[in-house]
Amino acid sequence: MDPRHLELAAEFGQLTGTADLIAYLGLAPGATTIEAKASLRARRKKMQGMQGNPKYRREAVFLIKYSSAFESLLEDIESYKRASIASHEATQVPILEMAIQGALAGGSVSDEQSKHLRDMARRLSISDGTFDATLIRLTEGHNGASRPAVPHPFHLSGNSTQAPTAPPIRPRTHAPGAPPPVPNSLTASQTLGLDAAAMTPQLEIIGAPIRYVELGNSPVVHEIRVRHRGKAPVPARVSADAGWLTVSPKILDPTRREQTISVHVDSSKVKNPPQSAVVHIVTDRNGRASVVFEAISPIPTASRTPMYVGIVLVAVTLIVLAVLASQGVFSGQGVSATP
Amino acid sequence: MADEESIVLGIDLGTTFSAMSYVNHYGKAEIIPNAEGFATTPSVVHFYEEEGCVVGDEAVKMVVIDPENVVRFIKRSMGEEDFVLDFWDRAYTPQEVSALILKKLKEDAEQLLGKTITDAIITVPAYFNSAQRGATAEAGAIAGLNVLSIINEPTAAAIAYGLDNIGEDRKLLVFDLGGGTFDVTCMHIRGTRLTTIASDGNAELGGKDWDDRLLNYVAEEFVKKHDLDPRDDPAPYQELYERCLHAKISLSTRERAVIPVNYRGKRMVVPVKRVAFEEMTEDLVEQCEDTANLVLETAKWKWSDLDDVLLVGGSTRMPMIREALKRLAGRGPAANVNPDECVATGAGLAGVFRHRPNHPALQQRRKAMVDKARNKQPVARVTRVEDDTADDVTQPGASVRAVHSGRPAPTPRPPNSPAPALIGLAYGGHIAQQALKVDNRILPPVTIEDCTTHPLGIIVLDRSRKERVVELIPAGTQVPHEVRGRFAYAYENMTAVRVEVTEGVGSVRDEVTVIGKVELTGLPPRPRGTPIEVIYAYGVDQILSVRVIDIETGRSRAAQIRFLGGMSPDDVKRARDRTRRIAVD
Repeated sequence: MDPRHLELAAEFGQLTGTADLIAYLGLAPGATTIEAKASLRARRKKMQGMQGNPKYRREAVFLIKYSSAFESLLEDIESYKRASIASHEATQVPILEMAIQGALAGGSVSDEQSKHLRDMARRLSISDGTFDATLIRLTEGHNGASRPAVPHPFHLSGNSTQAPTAPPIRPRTHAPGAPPPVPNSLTASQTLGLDAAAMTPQLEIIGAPIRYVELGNSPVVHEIRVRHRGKAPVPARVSADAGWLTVSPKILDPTRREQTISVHVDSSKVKNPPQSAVVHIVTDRNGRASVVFEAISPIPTASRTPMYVGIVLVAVTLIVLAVLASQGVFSGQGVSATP
Repeated sequence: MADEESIVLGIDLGTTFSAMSYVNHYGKAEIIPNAEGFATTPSVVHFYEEEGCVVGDEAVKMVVIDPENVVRFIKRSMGEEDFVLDFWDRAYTPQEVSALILKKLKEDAEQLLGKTITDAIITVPAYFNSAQRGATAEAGAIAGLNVLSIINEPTAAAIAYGLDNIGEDRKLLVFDLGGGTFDVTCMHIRGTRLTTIASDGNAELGGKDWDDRLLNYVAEEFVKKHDLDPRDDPAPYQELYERCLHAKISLSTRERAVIPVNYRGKRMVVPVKRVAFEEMTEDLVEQCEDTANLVLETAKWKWSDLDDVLLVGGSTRMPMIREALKRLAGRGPAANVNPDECVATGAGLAGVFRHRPNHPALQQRRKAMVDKARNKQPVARVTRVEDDTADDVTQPGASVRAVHSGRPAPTPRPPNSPAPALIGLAYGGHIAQQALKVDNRILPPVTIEDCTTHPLGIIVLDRSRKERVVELIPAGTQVPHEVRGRFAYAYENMTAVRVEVTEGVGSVRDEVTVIGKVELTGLPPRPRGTPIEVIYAYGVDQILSVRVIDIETGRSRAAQIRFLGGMSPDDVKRARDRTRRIAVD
């Protein structure tokens, strides 16, 4: 099974909001390859008439371009199903990992957090088995490490444990017994070592690593501020793994230390919320940073009631105060002491 | 007929409509109507059987009956890899579908003119890249045409407009909003020289986007009321699209239009006011404005510098576009230019200027200019024809009333040639005032200077042996242009050098497109750092010649990168043979 074809099918699934080609074609369980291919061809034929259709254009063009790749996947439906699940989880597990690491930054994962994370995993179409394995792996890794509590770079707020002061950076010293280095001169290995450190891209997201987007307020533009702490200029690409997110710019200016990425959220393209998607920032030296976008349904009006009640209360209070003030309650006369 | 007078068909291969023209014996560009008698032909193909299709208005009628076998907007898929359509179990690339449109145009022209036509010049949006240009040229070849060159649509339009203004110094902005593409070009007309100063655009923005906004609005209104979406089925969608298209056209002249929707037994009439339509497409107009401002900025011009704004493409008829440009430019657009036909007209003229330098009309003009210089007085003078039949005099066989002076007796017409006509009125009065004799064959020898819209570069290895792209010809460079770059061996004892030519903006391979390779082999092994020279020469005909020279040995290798589409010569030949068998009605 060609991995590129699997990738294309996964991309197509994202575009159409379906888990895989089988779901897209509406195939019954146990459908044969012949039935699957016939269904694909019929769908493709229909889409030929939809190329200009604004609602289906992308789907139509994708299907026209890659239907032969899809046909090859449907040669063995069972293998495709297995590969599709594995491939899907491979792309979604890093999102789950980030969320788990975010929870672990507080020390441990509470029951409530665990429930929330499991729900998130299900929304990401990650099986319970994979979720459990991921949670155990990360929890054990977290507890097993006897490292100092360094704040997670993606930690949201300041209520975590205080980050210890980093040890001061000292100049490299020669090994005991070795001759001291010649001042103002570095050996080749030192030079390479220093350069390598300087060249390592260090991307840092400023702000929350998970952004919640309330749908229905389209268009919404979120900003991601990213800081590069490395010394060498590093070109980086920005991409989003869902059609409802559009990023700009797609290529970061390698000469700038800090940049802002605009993420345009098209609520109309989010099918069956809640949905998760990730904006990836990847440098050409394998440095990477990500921000998760969680698209959620609009908060029901009822939950906003307290805010309105608050506004009304404040307004009433102000009016009462104004009336009292006009009656001189707060004036100097009103509070003067009698002899 | 002399070879120099053989027809070069100028073809405007549009997203929604196509048109064609040629330059007649007298130097006048004439639009050739299709077999149905219309100046423009819808770029729509309906495959009604395995070896039969219909192109144009008849195909449009079939979109609601047989939408799966109808193709429209194929231009938007030109140059797209892996894009193959399937009709009657036969695969068609965008080139082959476009070839059927071109075949229809060619056959109609041949039928009307009574001649076999092989040579053609085809227009493309200025912002088309090499793959798209290449695919267009391949479509021409598949249709049995000898594509002499490809010309940018705004340039062609400016030629048609410019003939009115030859001899003047004018700064022009060509705003070309077609059915599916958008280009803005700054052009400078100086004497007989038409120079493109800057150009930019969007190959995926056009009138179709306005149609889609309207369609989405109407469809969503229908969904709100009936919870059914007419976009979900091909035939109802096509029917609704046609209605929205007509409503859009109607809104150009009226304040309100109504769009009836009939889907699955449910009916609704959606009224749309022009104001509402303008609001829902406001951002599209802003995109156009931004591009226009950007192009002006690139050209280092201001709106107030412009002498004229030339509107090209049917979508510029929308009042919101005209108003936006009027607001920006402070004046209305150039008059007497037909936005549907000027690109084809200019293409026909460009065919003569570029490929028929000895066309009799050009020769006669040169002779007239020499005579004028010798006599220091006009060879002939004619007053502006003030005849009731003024509109007709441009047609062969029409008679004119004109005043002649200082001009020898008219040269006899060649046998079988049309009756004399006053040339130039088609372009307005300017030429007619200068030139002069009824049967003079005149055409000013216009020089066309275009510019690149995408940067061209080369892939090299930097000091750390990492690939990067070095730009050799930036976007906006006037062509013809030649640039030399000196590079060096990246490794010890290299015996071959490969030059990879790139197109597009970017610093790494993934961001650009490799459009060609030139290899210099059989070199003696020499150390790292040995110099190599690479020469890029980009011609007016969109051909990039690349030469790689080993400086020490003098050994060189040259290659031409011309219209790089996706097909091999054998593929083109096979497709041509196949297309020949398909009857185009």
